[in-house]
Amino acid sequence: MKPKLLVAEDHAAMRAKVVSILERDFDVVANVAGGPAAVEAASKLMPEVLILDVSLPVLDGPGVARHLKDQGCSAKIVFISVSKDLNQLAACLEAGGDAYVSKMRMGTDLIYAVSEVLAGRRFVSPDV
Amino acid sequence: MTHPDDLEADLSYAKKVFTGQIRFYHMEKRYIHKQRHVVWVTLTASAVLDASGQVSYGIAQVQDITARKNAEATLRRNQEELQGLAGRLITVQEEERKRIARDLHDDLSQRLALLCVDLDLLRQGVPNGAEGARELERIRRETEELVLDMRRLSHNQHHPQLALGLQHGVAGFCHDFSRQHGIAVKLVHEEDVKQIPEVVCFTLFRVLQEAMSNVAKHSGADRVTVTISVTGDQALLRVTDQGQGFVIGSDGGLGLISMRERLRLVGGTMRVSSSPLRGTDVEAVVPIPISSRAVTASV
Repeated sequence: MKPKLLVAEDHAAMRAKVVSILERDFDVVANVAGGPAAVEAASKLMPEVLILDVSLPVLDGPGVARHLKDQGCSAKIVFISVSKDLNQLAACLEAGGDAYVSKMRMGTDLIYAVSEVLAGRRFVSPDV
Repeated sequence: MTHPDDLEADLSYAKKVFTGQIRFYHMEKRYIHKQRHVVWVTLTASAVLDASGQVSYGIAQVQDITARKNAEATLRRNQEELQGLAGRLITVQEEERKRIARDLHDDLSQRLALLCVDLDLLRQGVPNGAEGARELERIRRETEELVLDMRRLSHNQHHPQLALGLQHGVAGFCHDFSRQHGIAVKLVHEEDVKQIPEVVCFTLFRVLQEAMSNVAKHSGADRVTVTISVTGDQALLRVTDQGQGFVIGSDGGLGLISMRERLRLVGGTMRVSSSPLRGTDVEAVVPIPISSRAVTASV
């Protein structure tokens, strides 16, 4: 059985691209556009990996991660962002992130990052 | 009849004249007209002494200055109104910049990042060394540079950390500046700068951007010191470098006029010291209304 994934990304075309990259190898159980929807879907569907855009509206990616971790959620978390800012990377890892993928490198890095976090390892795109 | 608020001062001066402590006095005071409106005057009063040095009588000259006082009050009101409008203009301009920054970040940079992903996926289907593989890689690199330029442009329009206060905005900007230009930035906060009103924050941030842009383009310096502080009822921003400097007066194109103009809108001033090979020191000072400080501090 394919591992279950949840995708949270507010840009519609970007969200569709993330899903299309992942759906061949993984079971994308939900894709949502905002932070609160991500919290709700993750609590209900219990995916094994969350793909979170850092700049989600209302509640940002690190905010979603902290909220879910506080609730005892054990899902692995992969952050995606256009930014290569090291402070942002540090904030994402501090919030409980297991991987940080540059959106420009999703074509090469995203599937690999998900596989790595499922294997209990961490991953950061090499251009960050 | 003398206005009650001016009576005490008037009587005190009069007493000094009639007891010989002073020869004369001159003051602005108010009378209440019999039709109950206020009349502003200048009063000059003196005592005339007899041969023995005793006061024999007094002379007072009164000039109606109500029209001038009313004109001054109107001017003051207009200046306050102008100041308020300038503040609103700056706020509206910043809101517009924020919207442009959001559009750049939320849509255009995402679409460019998508192009990078598509180019990578396309490249994966082309064997290494095949015709077009190198060209695809070149287009991919160009696209990624566009994403990064777009992000810089977005931050120049509105730095996201400015929403957390001047201190955070300046720190974020200095961090990005240092990374982009390879120039070390020493940031000094001398006091708690949270109490600077938002409109002054926006202005000082724009002045900082302009001053730092000059450092990057013209100074040749490898380090720069940025200071923000609140001293008394003034907010201060200072940018100092040890670069090659310039001759004051030959500064066309350095944006000094636009910096001064921005500062003027909030009642601020700017001082620039520079000379060839001795670096440049830019200091912007903006008065902070006491009421704004109190309101901000209580939040």
